[in-house]
Amino acid sequence: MNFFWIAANTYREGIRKKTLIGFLIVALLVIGGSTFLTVLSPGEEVKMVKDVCLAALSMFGMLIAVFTAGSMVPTELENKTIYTVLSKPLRRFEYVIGKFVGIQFILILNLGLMGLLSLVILFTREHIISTILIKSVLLTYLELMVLSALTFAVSMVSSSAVLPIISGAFIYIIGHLVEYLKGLSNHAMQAGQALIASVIKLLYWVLPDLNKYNIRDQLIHLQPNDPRIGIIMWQLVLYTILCVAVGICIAHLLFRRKEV
Amino acid sequence: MSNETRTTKQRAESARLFILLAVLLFIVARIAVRLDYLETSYSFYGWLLARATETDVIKPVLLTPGEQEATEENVFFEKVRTSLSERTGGQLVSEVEETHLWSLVLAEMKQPTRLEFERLASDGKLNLPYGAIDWSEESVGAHLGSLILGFRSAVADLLWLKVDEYWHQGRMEMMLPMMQTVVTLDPHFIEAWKIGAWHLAYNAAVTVDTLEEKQAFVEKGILFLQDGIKRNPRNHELYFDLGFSMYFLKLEDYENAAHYIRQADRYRPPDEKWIPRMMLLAYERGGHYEDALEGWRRYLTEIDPESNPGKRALYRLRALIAVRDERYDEALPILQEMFDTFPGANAFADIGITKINAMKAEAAGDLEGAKRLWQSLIDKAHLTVWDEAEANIARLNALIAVGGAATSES
Repeated sequence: MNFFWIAANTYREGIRKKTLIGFLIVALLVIGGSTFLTVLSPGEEVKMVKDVCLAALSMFGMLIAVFTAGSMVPTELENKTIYTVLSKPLRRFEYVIGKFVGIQFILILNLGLMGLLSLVILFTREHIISTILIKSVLLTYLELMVLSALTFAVSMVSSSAVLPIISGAFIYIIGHLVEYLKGLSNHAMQAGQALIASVIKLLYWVLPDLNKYNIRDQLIHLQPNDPRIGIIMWQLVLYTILCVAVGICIAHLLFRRKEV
Repeated sequence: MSNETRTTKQRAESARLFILLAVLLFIVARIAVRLDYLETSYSFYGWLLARATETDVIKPVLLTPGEQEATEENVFFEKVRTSLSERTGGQLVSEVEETHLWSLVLAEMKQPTRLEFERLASDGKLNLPYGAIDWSEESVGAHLGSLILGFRSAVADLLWLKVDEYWHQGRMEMMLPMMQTVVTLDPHFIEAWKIGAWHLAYNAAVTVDTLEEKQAFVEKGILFLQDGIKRNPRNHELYFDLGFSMYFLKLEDYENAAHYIRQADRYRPPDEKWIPRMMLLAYERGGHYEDALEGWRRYLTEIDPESNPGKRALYRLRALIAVRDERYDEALPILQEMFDTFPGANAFADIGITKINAMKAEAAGDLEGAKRLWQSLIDKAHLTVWDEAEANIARLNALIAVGGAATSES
């Protein structure tokens, strides 16, 4: 149960960070402001609110995930508090897991608040509790979970928070560009470069493809002709768990070799 | 524990971790392959439904059979349709229920159909509903962020606000291409399809001078809505707008109007009453009185038993059928009964009865009498029938002149 105390402490530490509070306030303002955007587009109020809320959740969620996951361990190294913690009878694996779980608590709290406000705004428009929005927020969280796991892994090799935060932003951008590798692999195959095509295809399958979570866009504007995407959602949950496991595994590999 | 033993243990643990990592990556790749299959199937489903809707619902209106070009996409579609028809029992693909179609697609998406679909899609030879961005487009910079970060819908919304701004500034040339960008980014943006088509057919059309240019804009509006229908094949609003705003109101083409409003009626929410009423009106204007009469009877039984427009339509259609069959003596009491039952409709009583009397007089050979009756409608300033009355007077004058000439010759 040692990891739980580490997680609780990480959570306490995280919610006190002014940067994160700032992001949350701006996000809540954007989500709240979405209701004014609808004045400009009568007839499509609900769509506008949904789109702005989801985009704000995703964008600010990304910033919060990257800042939290990228700065937790380097800050402890800078403040030297990590030495006190690791001098206790605590395995490094428990520390890694505890930190990651703590980061997830922070993410859940922030996304929960943003999601709740979005839900309330939508409720005032539609007079129903939008379960579709809840599913979309869940998909956003799954995406951020993968992003935070990978950023967290990068933070294990850095003694400063700057590198992991920048890396996190790049992981987010690259994660959304991975699907282009598929087209690239097809073109390489057509050009007769079978080996290069195979390597690119392998990268396409192994690298975390954050575009897969964009299915939330289709989910939130579900049309009568669309098939039910429950099967894809379950596969995405499994995919997320595995990507997170890879991230934690890399983090542990790097952290256990770190001289602290 | 000696340093050597500790190092050996650490190495063994590292090796185990690397093996675990390799296993995890292998499973991630397996799931990614599965997700890839599902996503391709999803894309195939959208394409198939769009193509089937185009062929079964839109193309029959535009083209006669055999006019379809033999493009790679068309050939592939025909192949898939033939393969599916065995499992749908001859039912049109566009009419197959969603869950059933999805299971058919999952079965169809095995090799080699999947490989061919992926190849055609990758070569840009398929018109996919969730469209790819044309990189040569001028406005591509505007939505680059959305493509990289996945905010397609939100960027489409912001561009839509810009469209609205251009519209109020009267900058039509800026507005029209941006509308296309909006629906490419978010093909489920129903309001954009509807308002975009309206701008093209109604607003852009009045900015040009010649009839050909006006018709070209109306045609563009129709094509824009048809494109929207292909991407949202079961959305009743788009079918209704195409049928009612374009064909019914703009072109007064009641055959096509009835065709599309019938599709809207098929997918409408149960409490939507306006669509079936307009469908029956399109039948009536198109001269399909029996279909309209039957439809109104069904409407009164199944949808709205208290509907006064429905009850009035029953009288009106029975009268119209009698007039069409030249049974004028039957038509007049039907019409009179309608006016007695619905006193609110008395404003139209005079028009209806005068018209029937004029037709009756003409059928009896009293051309002068018929002409006088049509003239009386003009004299009473009944604007709704002014054109019709003038046309009939001109026709009757011609008939009288021909009759007079024939008499003088004999």
